[in-house]
Amino acid sequence: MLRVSVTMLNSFRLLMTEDWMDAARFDAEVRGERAPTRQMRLGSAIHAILENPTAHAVGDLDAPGEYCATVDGEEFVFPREIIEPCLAVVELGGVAECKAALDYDIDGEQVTVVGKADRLVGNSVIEYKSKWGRFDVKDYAAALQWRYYLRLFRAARVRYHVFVIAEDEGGEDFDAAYALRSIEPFDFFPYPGLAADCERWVRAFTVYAHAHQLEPWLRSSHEAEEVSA
Amino acid sequence: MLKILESTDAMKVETLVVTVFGQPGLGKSTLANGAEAPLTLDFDRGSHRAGNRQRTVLMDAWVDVEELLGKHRPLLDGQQTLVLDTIGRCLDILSLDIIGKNPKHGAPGSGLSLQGWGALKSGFAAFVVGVRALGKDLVLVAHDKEEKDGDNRIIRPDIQGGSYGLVTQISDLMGYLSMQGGARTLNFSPTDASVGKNPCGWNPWRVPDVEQRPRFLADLIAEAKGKLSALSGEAALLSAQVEEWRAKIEASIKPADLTALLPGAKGLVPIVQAQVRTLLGARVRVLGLHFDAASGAYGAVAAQPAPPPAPAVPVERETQGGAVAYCDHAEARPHIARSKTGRKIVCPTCIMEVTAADLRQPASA
Repeated sequence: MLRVSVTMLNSFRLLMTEDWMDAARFDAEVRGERAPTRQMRLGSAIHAILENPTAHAVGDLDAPGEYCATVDGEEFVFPREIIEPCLAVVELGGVAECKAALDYDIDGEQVTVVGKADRLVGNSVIEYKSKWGRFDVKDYAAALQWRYYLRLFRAARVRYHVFVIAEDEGGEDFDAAYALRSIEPFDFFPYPGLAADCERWVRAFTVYAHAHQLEPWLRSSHEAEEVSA
Repeated sequence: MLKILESTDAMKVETLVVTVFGQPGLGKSTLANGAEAPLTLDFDRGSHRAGNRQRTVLMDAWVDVEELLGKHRPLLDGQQTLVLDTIGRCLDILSLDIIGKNPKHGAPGSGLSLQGWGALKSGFAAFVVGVRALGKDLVLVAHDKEEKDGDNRIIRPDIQGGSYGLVTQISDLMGYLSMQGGARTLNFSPTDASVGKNPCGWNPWRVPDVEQRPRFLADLIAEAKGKLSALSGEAALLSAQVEEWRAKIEASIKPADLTALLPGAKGLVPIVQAQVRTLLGARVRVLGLHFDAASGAYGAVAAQPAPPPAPAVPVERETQGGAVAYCDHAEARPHIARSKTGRKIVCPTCIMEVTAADLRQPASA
């Protein structure tokens, strides 16, 4: 029995399709040996702020000047000019941080895919992403995350809100370290063949995991973290 | 009058944006002419080649588009669909207009600057919003283009630079027209070979002869509106169901109250079940309960020996006037934030649960 997160399957797709991802790097990710990059920590900081802005507001609670979150000991401070437009698109209904699991039978072996959505509203999954640098919807369309979320939650739609943020060079608009370039919303829907596509990737991953002897990390609670209660 | 919809209200889908892309000569424009009461905005000067040709406006410059939506708006009366043929050329023309109006946005020979791309995006988005506000559907016709996607090749609409993303975002449906087994096929699903957007979950359509079914695209768009409206209705029903469960869970105080909810939760559809499970988990944590798998019931957690009292760490918070107030949430993990005005320590418990009036001045600070 193996347990694999949607995040891991997404990385596996990158291994299979992108030149920059190699087996050593991917295997290290599975083994939990790769520390999050600074951009990932920045993303986590924004995510934490959007989840609970009040707890991260600095200054006057009614009109915070800044929002601050600490990730892995590093403190990230964002001006309200970045956070407040993002907060304006954060859905208020539904339920945040919902988990689901889906079992696959891969040649007699049970492989459980686990995932945690930012928010479920009605029949939709809502995901918030931070993107540093150039935004390209193609990067998201090719990814597996939305496909598995559609399957795991039997959702009718996955809606992304991507917050495109750049390190501010000129400080033209305000004196801050980062600047919000745009907020990009877009949707993905189920399609005939989705279930088969998802199973195909689980199957390929399972073969790879056995060949690279990654089973110990796919049975431990480390990998199951995404849906642990 | 303002139309306010709650998250639990259904929303009728009245207009759609549909992108159809494919190789030249396969009949994209003919297909688009099968939309409901179409008016083709011919940017490519190729509409004479299309079968089943409908009303057409030849577009030479973006000002023609502006005039069509402005002083010539009566021309749109009776038209339900605007066909942009092709969307690639339409965006080229909008780019020229943007560059012409502001040299900072680029130069005719070298194309758009970074700012110019932003202007293109916002200009086209404004156009789409304007058309939708008139209650019209939009059909965007595009040639296809093969692109590298990692190690794979994938076919996408041939639309310049960043505006491809915009078209993908605004399109409700995106279908690839190609020849499959000798038949013209319209596939809305994303595949390894081509992009797509298929909210209706359609299998690939074999495109009928225009003589046999001249309103083929109109029928598809009508069906899509019905299905998307139904999805919205379903979303509203599920949201209302979740809210009912939220109320029941929040009203539960004893372990038995929560245990009694479990049988009903098992029969829920997966997306509601996931939400209910999350709400139950949160309530269980608030009430300090645990789930006993053997009995299938919630129970109180056995009393733990009280931890030694934590040292009273005053947590300070800068108030609006600059004074410092203190709370005594010694158990709270102080959250350290640094602002430009200096260092502050903020207690998340206070921020979330008490107002400034609850903060006290330190007795011996």
